[in-house]
Amino acid sequence: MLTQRGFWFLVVAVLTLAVGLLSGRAVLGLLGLTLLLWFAGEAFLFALRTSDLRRRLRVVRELADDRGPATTLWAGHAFTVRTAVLLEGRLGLPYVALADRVPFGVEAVGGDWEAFGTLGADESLHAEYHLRCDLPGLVRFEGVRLRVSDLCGFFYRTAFLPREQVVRVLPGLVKGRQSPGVKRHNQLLPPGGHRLRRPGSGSELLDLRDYQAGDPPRTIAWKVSARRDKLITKEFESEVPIRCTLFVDTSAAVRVPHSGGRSVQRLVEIAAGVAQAAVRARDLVGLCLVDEHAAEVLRPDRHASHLTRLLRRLAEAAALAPSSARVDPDTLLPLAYAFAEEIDPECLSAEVNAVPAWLEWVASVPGFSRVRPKGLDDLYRSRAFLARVFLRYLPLTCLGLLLYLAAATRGEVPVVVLFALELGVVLFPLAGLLVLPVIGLLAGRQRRLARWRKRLAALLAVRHGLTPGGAEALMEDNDALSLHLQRFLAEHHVPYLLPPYDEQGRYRFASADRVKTLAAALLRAVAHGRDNELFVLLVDLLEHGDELAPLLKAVRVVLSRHHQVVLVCPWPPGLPPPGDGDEPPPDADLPGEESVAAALRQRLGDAFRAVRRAFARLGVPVLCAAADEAVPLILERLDRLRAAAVRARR
Amino acid sequence: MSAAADNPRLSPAARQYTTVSLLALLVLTLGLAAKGFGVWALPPLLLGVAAVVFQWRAGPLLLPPLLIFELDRLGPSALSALLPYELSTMGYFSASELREVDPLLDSLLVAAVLAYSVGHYRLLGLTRNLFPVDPRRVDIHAAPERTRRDRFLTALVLVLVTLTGAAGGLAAVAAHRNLLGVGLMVALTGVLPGILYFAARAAYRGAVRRRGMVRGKPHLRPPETVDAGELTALLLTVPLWTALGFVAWTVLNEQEAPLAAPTAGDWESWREQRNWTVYPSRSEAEPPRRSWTVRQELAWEGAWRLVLVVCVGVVGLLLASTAFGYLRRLRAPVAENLLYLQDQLWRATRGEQSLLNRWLTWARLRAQKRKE
Repeated sequence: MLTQRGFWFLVVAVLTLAVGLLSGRAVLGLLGLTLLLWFAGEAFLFALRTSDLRRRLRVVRELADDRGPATTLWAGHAFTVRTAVLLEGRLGLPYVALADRVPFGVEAVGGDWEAFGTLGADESLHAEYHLRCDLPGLVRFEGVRLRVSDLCGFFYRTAFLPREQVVRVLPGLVKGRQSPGVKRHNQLLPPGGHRLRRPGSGSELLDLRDYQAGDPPRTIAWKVSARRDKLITKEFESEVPIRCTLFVDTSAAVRVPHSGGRSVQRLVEIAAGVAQAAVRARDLVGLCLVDEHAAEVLRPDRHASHLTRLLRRLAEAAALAPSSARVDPDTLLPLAYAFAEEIDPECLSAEVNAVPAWLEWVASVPGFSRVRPKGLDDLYRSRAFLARVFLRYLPLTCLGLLLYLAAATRGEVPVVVLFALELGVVLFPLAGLLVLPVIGLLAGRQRRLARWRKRLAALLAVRHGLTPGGAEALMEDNDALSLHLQRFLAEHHVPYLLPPYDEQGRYRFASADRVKTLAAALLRAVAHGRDNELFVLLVDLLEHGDELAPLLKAVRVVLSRHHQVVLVCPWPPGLPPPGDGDEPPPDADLPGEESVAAALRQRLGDAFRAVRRAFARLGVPVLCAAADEAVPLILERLDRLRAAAVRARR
Repeated sequence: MSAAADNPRLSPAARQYTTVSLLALLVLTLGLAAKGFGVWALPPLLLGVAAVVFQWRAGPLLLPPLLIFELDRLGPSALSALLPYELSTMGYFSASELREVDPLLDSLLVAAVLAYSVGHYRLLGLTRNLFPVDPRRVDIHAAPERTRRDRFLTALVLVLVTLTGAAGGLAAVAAHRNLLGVGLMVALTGVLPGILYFAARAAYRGAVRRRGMVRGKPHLRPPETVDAGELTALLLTVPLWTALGFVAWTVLNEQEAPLAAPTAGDWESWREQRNWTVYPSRSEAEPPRRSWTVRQELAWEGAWRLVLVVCVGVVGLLLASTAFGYLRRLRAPVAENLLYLQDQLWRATRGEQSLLNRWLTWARLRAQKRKE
């Protein structure tokens, strides 16, 4: 609460008073006492005014776009945020600076999210600013950071007023255009209808054939029958709606952030574009979100409310964060602690979440760890063991000392034995006494991490509703703490990086279960499907070149039912798209980052071509969802594909 | 954009507080002159004006020590007993010229110092910074910059320190005729501060460069947030606090030490008991204007009152912190209270929990390893 300025003023006031009292100078004593009293009065008043900030202050936030207040936002559009902090009660605040915390993943394009001023009783401060979110997902507003100070800058207090608000950012709307697959001449089909070159109950003539008993009389072509002198029946086309089902991969592999964004956001953009185009053409569109464990299905429909529901679900999927166990929590602790300190400083204060001084110097947390410590970490983590060794060695040391004294006084013991005893008795405990504090002093980062670990473990145990002993369980279990840290960061939409490869060099996010889950979902969709189904698979299969058998088998089933399949593979944003043919290996003289990017592109390009070859054998087109490839282009390919299928059946 | 918006010192609010500070300094100077200080009334004015003009943060902190220095020249005090005799008797004003105790004049001086301090600190809030800089919020794009004035002041201080040190060293050489000692003295007093300064600056800049960042920009209070009521409140509260201080001082002066001050005889017997070499009595060198015993009694009473003030302050601080802490705990959110309870449990059973969870983790990891 006391700033440096206030501290020095207090020191000078006390010094003046002390000199005045000791020297008997009335004016000095009076000066010191007056300054001290004024300072104490200001301190008391400030403490009184700021004692119950979180209850007295109320945060109101309103989001608006061009048309007025909004509860859902659209990607690529700017929106306005108006935040007001209202003070309730009788005591005002001398000077307040509030800053609405700008969410992650949005870009501030104007206005000011900070506001300053004196806040009287029942008065409010307002901040208004404009944000734009380029990618679909969720935007989470956490609250308002408040800084209060007196007018002289002697006292200072910060607080965070939580005002959580999660808003969906739906994928941007694609400009409407006529689908080339829809026939435009002679008559219009009913909404959502598509011709199928099979006999049916449509209105377009397909063929003429001889009359068969049981044919309805109204289908008889009387003029032709008269010319041919026999009864001829008209056959009409079948008009059925196309049902498009989007299979979107939401597994951890596509949630991993890259330099240009996350693959899942790109997939969601494509899926949203396809869904909107399909609904605009009155096609039925469904959605199936697939991850490593399960598939979530939204049945095909064509209503506007269904499209809204689908876009919302896609936005939620785009906001998912990667998660993986076996990640060293030390890589996440600094970020998580800094964020927790920002949004919940009270819960990290020593008053409610204490870290004993001995913890970082003596205790070794965690006791067992998967991560192999190195160098100083190794020494730091084993210092509790070393301390125990030295303590247990103490009685032995005393015994050795006695033996040494006895042997030295009698003088009948060889020098070698005496030297060994001296070494063991004197040097070993001495080394222990010296080494342990030195390790602690050198390992400043580890001590800091130990402190953060305890505080965050306690905070997460409460936030995630663990048992009262959950804090210690998290402190001892690296994997559990890592998962809870990831959950904490993911819940608050804090972007974080996880190392993609583990200690053995294995890709962390590869999961064969995902392909099986996708294959099962595809088969289930076929079982529930009708005619003219279009399955768009937006799945990352680049890391699964050898595990595609279940999926290929399911695709064969799909094709055998005369349905169509399109595969769209995500491509890491920021990486040039793969070429058609085999590419030469990257130049060895490239600088570091470019060399890595070139090697990655070549590896992923090879994987992409392998996947394309595997699906090309079945006649399934494979597209690459590179970042610079626009959604309309993919839609055009899909439309062409649909039209091509119609032509082929003619 | 107006000049006031570019330069906060030109804003009406800043001018208002500058005026308050300068007026307070003027009142202080007049008060000191009325007390009979003559030319010695000017140093506080010069210091205060320099602090206001150059926006020194240390201005209000340096003023009371300067007043201590000046007011202690009023005559022998208990403090002078701690100083060498020559220093303690130097610069006394003639007692006939000074009015040592004048309640109204003293209150006026105190009010002036208080008004100057408040005005100057509020001015600093408008022109330098109001909030302390958050060390976690760094501006990675900002480069460490030093203004021309900073450079000039640094160079001036260095030159003065070096010249003073060198002069002192040379004087010491001339007195003792010891060339080696002189060289050493000159080096230590004249050159070493400069070397230390540049070494510290290089280390700081190296650290800044290594981290690639410097602290964020200070937060200035926008001038438009200053309303007219602030100045009125300030002008009303200053006399109020001064009056309160006067009452407190009067009450404090009525407090007498429960034990009598040790007399000179007590000190002598105390020394003799310990076989200490008795320092030549000051009374032999100079007839005292006030007796040693009187000064001792003053100091004794003053020390007792100081202890009283400290005790009252500590008790008040404890009571206030307890009350505010209790209220804070009472009004804390559920999650915070749960955390507090969990922390108490953890403190009580940390050893058992640790042992249990360590074995559980070990068992889980072993099972996982076998499975793999």
